[in-house]
Amino acid sequence: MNVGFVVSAIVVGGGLLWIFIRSLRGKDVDRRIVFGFVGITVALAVLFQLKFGEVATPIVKTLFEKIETLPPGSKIVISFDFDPAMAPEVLPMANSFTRHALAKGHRIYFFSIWATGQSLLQVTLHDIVEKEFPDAVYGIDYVNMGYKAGNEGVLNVIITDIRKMYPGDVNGTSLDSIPMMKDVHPLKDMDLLCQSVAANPVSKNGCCSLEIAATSPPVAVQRQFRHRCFILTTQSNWSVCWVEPKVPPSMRLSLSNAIRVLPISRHRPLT
Amino acid sequence: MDIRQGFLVTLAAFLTLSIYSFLYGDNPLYRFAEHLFVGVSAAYWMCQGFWSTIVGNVIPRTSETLAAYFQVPFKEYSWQYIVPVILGIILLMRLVPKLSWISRWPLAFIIGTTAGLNLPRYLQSDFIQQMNNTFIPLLPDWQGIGHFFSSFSFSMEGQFVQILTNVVIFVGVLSGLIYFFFSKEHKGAFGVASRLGIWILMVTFGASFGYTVMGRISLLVGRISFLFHDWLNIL
Repeated sequence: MNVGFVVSAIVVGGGLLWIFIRSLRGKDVDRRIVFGFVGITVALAVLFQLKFGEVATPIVKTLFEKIETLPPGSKIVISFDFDPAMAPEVLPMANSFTRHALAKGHRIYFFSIWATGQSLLQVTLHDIVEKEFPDAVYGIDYVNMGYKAGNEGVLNVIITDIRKMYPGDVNGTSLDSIPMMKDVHPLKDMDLLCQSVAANPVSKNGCCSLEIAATSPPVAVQRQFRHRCFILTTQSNWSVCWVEPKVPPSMRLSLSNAIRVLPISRHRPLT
Repeated sequence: MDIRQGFLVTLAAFLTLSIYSFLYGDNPLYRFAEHLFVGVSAAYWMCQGFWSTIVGNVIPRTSETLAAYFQVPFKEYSWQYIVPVILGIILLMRLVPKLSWISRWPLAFIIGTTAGLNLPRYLQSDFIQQMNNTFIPLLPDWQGIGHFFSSFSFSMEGQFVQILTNVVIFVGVLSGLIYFFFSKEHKGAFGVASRLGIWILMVTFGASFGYTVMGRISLLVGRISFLFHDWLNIL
C-alpha cells in the first residue's frame, strides 16, 4: 500500500464522510464544493498514478477472439466517429483495436462520418501505426478514406458501392490505384466492421441495412455479416451491436477500458 | 517542446480552465471560451464539409478544370450531382428575407429523405431487434439438472448466471410493460407486477445514470491528465 493510495483514501473518505454527515443533519452541500471534491479526487488519482485492477468483460473477450481468429489479411473497417471531448474514453479502445488488427496482419480501412474523427485518427496513425508498426505501408496495410458528411446516408451508399461515395482516399488518390482497394467494392466485402463512436452508432442501423439492402446476398451471408459488426461506443446499451451467438444479449455490457488489459495492449497509461 | 507548441498547449490549458470556471459561476472567461468553441467548431465543420463533399464528391463528377485545380481524381460526368448543389444554394436563400420561403423545399427534402432512409433501419435495429433480444430461452444450454449442478459456477460465462440474467430480462420486460398498462387497475398480482416494474425502471435509470457519470469522470481524467502531463509536465 503506497503513500498515494493512503492520502487519496483519507481525502476521499473524509470528504464523503463530511458530505454524508451534512446530509444527515439536513444541511445543503454547495454544488461548488461537490465539484471541487470530484476534481480533487480525480486529480489525486492522476497525480499519484493509482492503478486499479481491470477485468476483461465477455464482450471484450469476444471482440479479441474475433480479431484473433480472422485469417491474416482480413479486411477490417474502423470508423473514427468521436470528438476530442470523448477521446479519453473512446480513443484507448480505438487504439487497442487498431494495434491488435495490425499485429495480426489485417488490412485496416479507416473511415470517419464525424468531421472531428479525422483529427483524432491522425493521433492514432502517429502514436500507433507509425511508431509501433513502422513497416506498415499505406495503401497495402491501411488506408484512410477520410471524412464524409451524411451519417446514415453515407452508409446507405457504401453498402452497395464504396466508390460512389469515395472517389478517392483522404489525399484524393483514386481508389483504383490503391492496392488494398482492388477487391473492395460494397461494404459487404469487409470481414469486420467496427465503429468507435461517442453517440448514436449509425453502423448499428447500417448492419440492419446490410440485411434489408436490395442488393444484399442470400440470408445465410447476411446473418454471417451480422456477426461481423462490432461497435465501440460510450453508450452502454450499444456497446456491441451484434456479437457471436454464444454471447447472450444479457451480456452486452459496456466495453469500458477493460480492453486495455488484453495481452497486446502497450498503450501509455492515463497517467 | 518548442515555443509554438508551448504556446498552443498553454492556450489549450487556459481554455480548459476557462470552461471549468463555469462550475464556480458564470464569468467572462467562460463566455469567451464558449463563443470561441462554437465559432471554431462551425468553421471546422464547414471546411470539412466543403473539402470532403464539394471537393471530394461533386467537383470530380462535374468539372475537369476544377478537379485539376483542386488536385482530385476526375471521375465520369454525373450531372445528377448538380441537384444537391442547387438544393444547397436554395437552402441558403434563408439569408435573403424575400426568398426565405423557398428554403423550406430543400429542408423538406432533407427531412423526408432522412425519415424515409431511417424508418426501416431504426424499425429493424431499435424495435424488431429489441423484441428479438427479449425472446430468449429461460434455460439456455439446458442439459439436465445433473449437468447444471456438476458444472455450476458463478462466472459470467457460467450457465447459472446466464439463466439468472435471462430470467431477469424476461421478468423485467414483462413487469415494465405491465406498469405502463393502464386499462386495468393495478391491484392484486397485477399490482405487484406493476410495482416490480417501477422498481425495474428505477434500477435501469440508476444504472444508466451511473454509467453516464462514470463516462464523464473518465473525460475529466483525460483533461486533468492533459493539464498535469502535457501542460505542467509534472507526471
